[in-house]
Amino acid sequence: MKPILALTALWLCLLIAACSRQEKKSVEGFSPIYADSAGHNKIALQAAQPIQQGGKIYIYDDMLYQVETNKGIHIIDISNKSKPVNAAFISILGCQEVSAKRDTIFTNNYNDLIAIAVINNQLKLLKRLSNHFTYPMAQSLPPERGYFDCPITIPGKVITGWQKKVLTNPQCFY
Amino acid sequence: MKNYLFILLIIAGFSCSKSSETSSNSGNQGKSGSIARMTIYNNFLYTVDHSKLKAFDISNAENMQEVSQQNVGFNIETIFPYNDKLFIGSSNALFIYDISNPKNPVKQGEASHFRACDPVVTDGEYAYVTLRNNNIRCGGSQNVLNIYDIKGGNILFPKMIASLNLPQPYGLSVLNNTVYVCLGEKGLAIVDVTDKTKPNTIKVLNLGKSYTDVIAYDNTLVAYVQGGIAIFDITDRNNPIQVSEITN
Repeated sequence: MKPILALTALWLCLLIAACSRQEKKSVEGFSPIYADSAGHNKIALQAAQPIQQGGKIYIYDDMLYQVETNKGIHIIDISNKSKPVNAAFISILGCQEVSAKRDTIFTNNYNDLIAIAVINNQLKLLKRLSNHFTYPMAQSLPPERGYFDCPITIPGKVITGWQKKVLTNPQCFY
Repeated sequence: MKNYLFILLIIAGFSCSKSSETSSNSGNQGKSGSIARMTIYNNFLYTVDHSKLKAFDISNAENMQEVSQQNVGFNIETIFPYNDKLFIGSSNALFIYDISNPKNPVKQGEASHFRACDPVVTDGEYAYVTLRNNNIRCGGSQNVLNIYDIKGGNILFPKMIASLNLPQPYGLSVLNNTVYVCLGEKGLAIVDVTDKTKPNTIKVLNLGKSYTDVIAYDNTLVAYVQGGIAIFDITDRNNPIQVSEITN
């Protein structure tokens, strides 16, 4: 009798443990860092910068555009394939994606979709569509695969990066 | 005088229509990488977030506007254009959208039986997908390049015809009968697909770089490598020769 009781108790313990674990799961992962969005929509044409991490690429004619993730876009002239020229850098915070058509570059500035062009060495903002990017385009994904806290939209805030921490019941992963 | 004006108007009208025709056909479409969430086809820009496909009219960038949006699925990761089709990769499906009406993409095909967390590219007759297993949500146990037949009616239900093991494959590009597959720090695989049912790894270039994505076109291959770009001559498709790089 006693062993059966013990077994039942053990089984109950396991069940409870399993259930409570399901209810409250703690795992290491990433959580978004939120910052005030004021000033985050500034874009600027700058002298060429060394590529740091590099990011996604897009080619139009002889121009290669490479995203510097969250920072901007490198403009690289590849008309001479043996001697590509890092020509300029456009600083765009939150930048993740790039496409181009003729002289127009399409990208994201955090949650905004923007169309820009460099005309006579001047950067021109042709159009800004606010909040047309949603998770995870604008904030991208955490630097490592795994669980993460789902980014949420907070008025006046943008996500500027990720921090590693212990998460409780994270609902997002990749 | 009236006649003269009339002729002028006709000439003006003709020259306008002609110039707009050339511009829409001037055809130099941009080239997307395989891990993009944004792409352009003619006068439309398409974006995917984790569930929605949006179309924007960019015929006049200063007047760019959203013209449609629709739910595609969940965990959408990549979008790749080919002629009047969009290929969308999600964590559990490959979706093919028809954009012959570019404002309103229409779902045409879906292969939902495999896990395709990672990118998809196409040559119009076959779709090439990489899957890798360092991927908690959707990697499964596979590290493969899969080939799907999407010719004719198969586009509705892409049929897998080959699967090739590769270590941690990620971004890829196809040109003629060669597929270039990024293997991260393992290098860049050159895969011959002359026989689509028997893809064959010709070699793996490892020049001490980590490869993330590639774009192959004409006789050029541009690679997004850790810390920059590398450019290869691929006049000989199966023998890329690095001609330059810009890295930090």
